[in-house]
Amino acid sequence: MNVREDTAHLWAALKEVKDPEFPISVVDMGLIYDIRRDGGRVEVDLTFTAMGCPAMEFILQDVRDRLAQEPDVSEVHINIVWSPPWTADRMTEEGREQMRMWGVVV
Amino acid sequence: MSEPRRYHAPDELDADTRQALINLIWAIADSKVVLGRRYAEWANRAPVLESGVAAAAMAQAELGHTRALYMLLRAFPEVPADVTDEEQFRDHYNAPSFLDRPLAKWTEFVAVNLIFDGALTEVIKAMRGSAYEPLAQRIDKMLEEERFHQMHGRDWLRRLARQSEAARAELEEAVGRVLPETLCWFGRDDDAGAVRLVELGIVDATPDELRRRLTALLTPLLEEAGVRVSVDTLPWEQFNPQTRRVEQAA
Repeated sequence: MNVREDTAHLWAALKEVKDPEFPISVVDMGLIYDIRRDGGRVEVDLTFTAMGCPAMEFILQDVRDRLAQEPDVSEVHINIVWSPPWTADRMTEEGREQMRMWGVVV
Repeated sequence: MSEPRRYHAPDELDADTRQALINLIWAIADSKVVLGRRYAEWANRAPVLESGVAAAAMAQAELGHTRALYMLLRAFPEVPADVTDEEQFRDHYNAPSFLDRPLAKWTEFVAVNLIFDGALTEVIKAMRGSAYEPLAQRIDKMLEEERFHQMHGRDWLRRLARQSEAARAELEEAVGRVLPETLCWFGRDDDAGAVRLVELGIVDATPDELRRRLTALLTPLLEEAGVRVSVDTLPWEQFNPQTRRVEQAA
């Protein structure tokens, strides 16, 4: 996770966007690889746990909608990235703890 | 030694290379969409519940790979828009003829899972570190997901071969049907496009080398299971290099 000062509030905003399959944020799931900004334009590198993730469209829409609520964001561009592939190692400790609470060992 | 050149977009490739790459990605993507459909049809018909779940999971993975591959094809203006629209059903897919209809028996499912899904994995493996960057970026994830498909195919091969002589014989028949067209699917070795893709480092193996790799993988598994199939000649006369199909006589 590469959180720069000018994007810290955007990472915090995405902590509110949950993976529809588990109520864990996309940040704690480790799905957000990077957030960059150029003025009001925000670019997000995002992956999914699986290429056939059935919740893809929901997640993309939720990420877009939540970032658009930030007053300093005028445009959101999402790059879907597959490299490096997602593994459970990318989850935050908070994410792992929540996962264990749902009965999933990671 | 200088680093081989890497390509980041279609317009960095010459017209012939573009055509060859389109043909290959199109064939893989279309084969995966049809394979996904054939897998899904077994989600509630498999002999054990776990394999029904596995069939659904494998279908989902194949469709996911398709989506990622069609996204690559969309960057090529010469690819018709309806090809990459995964929401729409088309009349024709560049996929082997044995996938034209639902797989009638579980033994056919296993043969396709082991052999054709295995062939797709071999060609994807041959694009690891591909000089075409947008493709290279998708490979590791696909291979990671395909690992489980291969395990499923191998386990069922062993299981069916042990189950009964009738099951083994039925499996042998299914393998005999799937294997020749699968071996053709890699294309002819003198195909100029395939040669070009290897020259530029977009794919690391010629069609013959891919056939050799798949055969090397399958032969010991089939032998161990007592499944005897000999493919003396491949049906090249009916093979269409554009669609990568062995066209069956009407």
